[in-house]
Amino acid sequence: MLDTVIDGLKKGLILLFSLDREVLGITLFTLKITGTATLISIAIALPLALLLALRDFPGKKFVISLANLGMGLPPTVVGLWVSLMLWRSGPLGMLRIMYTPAAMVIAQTVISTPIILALSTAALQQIDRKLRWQIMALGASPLQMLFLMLKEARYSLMAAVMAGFGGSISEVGASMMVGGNIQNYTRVLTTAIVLETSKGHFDVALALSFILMFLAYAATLWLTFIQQRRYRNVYY
Amino acid sequence: MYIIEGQNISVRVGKSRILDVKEIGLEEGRVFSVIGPNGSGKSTLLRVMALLQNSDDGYVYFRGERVLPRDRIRVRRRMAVVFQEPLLLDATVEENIIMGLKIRGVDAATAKLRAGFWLERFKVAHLSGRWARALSGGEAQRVSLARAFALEPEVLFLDEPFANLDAPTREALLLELSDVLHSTGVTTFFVSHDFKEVAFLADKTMALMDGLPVQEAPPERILDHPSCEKLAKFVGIENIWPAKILEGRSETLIADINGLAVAVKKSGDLEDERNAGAGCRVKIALRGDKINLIPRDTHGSLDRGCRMDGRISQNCWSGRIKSIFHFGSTVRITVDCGIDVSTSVPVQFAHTFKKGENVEVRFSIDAPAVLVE
Repeated sequence: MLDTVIDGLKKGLILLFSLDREVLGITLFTLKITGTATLISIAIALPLALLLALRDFPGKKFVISLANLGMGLPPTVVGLWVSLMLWRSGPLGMLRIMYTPAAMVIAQTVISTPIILALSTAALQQIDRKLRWQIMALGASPLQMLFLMLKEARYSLMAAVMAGFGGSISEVGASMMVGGNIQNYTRVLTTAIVLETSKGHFDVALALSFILMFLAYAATLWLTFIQQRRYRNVYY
Repeated sequence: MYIIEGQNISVRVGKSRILDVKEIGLEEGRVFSVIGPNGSGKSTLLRVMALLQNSDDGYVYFRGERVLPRDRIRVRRRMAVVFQEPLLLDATVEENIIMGLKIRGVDAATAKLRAGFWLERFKVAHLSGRWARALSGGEAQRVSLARAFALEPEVLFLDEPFANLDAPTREALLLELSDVLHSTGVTTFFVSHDFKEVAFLADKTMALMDGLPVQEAPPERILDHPSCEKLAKFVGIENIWPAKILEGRSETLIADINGLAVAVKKSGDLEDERNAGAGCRVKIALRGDKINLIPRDTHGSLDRGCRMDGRISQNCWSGRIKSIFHFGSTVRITVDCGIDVSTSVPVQFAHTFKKGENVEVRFSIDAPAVLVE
């Protein structure tokens, strides 16, 4: 068993550093799908988070609880519901996007949006109410207020986005169900790992898993650097 | 004309009314303060006047014009607020000052100049590149004050800006702020629960109790003649005794406190006091620092009587020292005159008095205040 892992590690590293075309293709495609889904999620979640954090309205707590619930959505459940929607006989069947990258983007958006929404809402709600008064007292317009609030919560918001990105890039169930894991078309890192493992190609699977872990780590590392940069002038 | 004025300001939380101020106005160039205990509604009043919170009823007028919802941002840009917490943005000290100016459309060069000037004025120029959230409480509050003054407001609102600071920092900043307020002449609305701060900074004070104004007068007037028992206790008056008015028609009122007669010159500006007639039950408040304590040579029996000198300009009671407590630089002495009379003397005079000794308690007829509940 250990030999297999070591062997897989070696072959995996060779595949990685030799810039294997297929591996590279899957990696770039994964980034494209997850990146697009994350951007769409940000566009949906941030305005909603601002609304939830800054405005009081009936049913607000219920909406927040739904977002919190959505954070733990099992990807296979998302895959099932998106499949039902996009299936030829489904309500969105006329779009004919089942087993296409678009379907995968939709599924991943459904997974990452509640994560970004719930974490962003919490981040914005944590801003001291008195700071909002202070910003108002400075004479901020509503737009300036929103900008300053986002700026104030930027590190927590980045963490929320990273969590959403992480949730999307690491899921396999939904991508498999709505994308179909079609070679050179809808295959992403996670579905490729499942496939290669099932075929007994542990070297390729390991190589792909390293890339996946590296991508997740790179994103975290970037966030950590940004977060730590603000302490550059701090003296205690 | 007032620079900023509130009419029928009322704020409710649920069904309870937490603030009800019929009229409040700030004269240009003056420091107006609002004092009251925690929960009295003073910070809420500040927020309403600073247009940060809506009043359930009533209106705020700025330079004689009613501030409509569409005017709020425009008017806010002519004012500045400093809160109890510094509430600095997650940026450098200089960026914090510049941000407010940028919001108000001040060009970058002028903003930088003004930021530099006010940081220097509040002695924090050396911190301009530092991250604001890493400052100490005193430094951060200095930055917060610099930010407010850099905006060159027509009205400055200060919401207990020294409440979170340690005593030496508070004292130093109070002196600096007083200096800046006098040199700039900015109209100031100052909220505090510390009467010393108010007495030091304010020209006029409104005392709020449970959301209602109970007195509006110069701070020293409130300290000498509070309008009600609650306010008297709040400003730290040590002696409050129930009394019955014996003679109330003349300028000097005579009251009986548990068998001791006391003469009180009517203050003239409190309607209830003016109307208090013979037989009326009141309370007499007397500040400890208005009392002269004079040792008596004789060690005879306790004289529970009372006398007044011929001109009735002074009350004079006899009593025996009941207790002596040291409070740092002062000594609290309680004298049994039939009623307990408390006063404080500087610690260097403490050796003059000993527990059990007979003393005379003297105070001017101007000193006591009549509290008509």
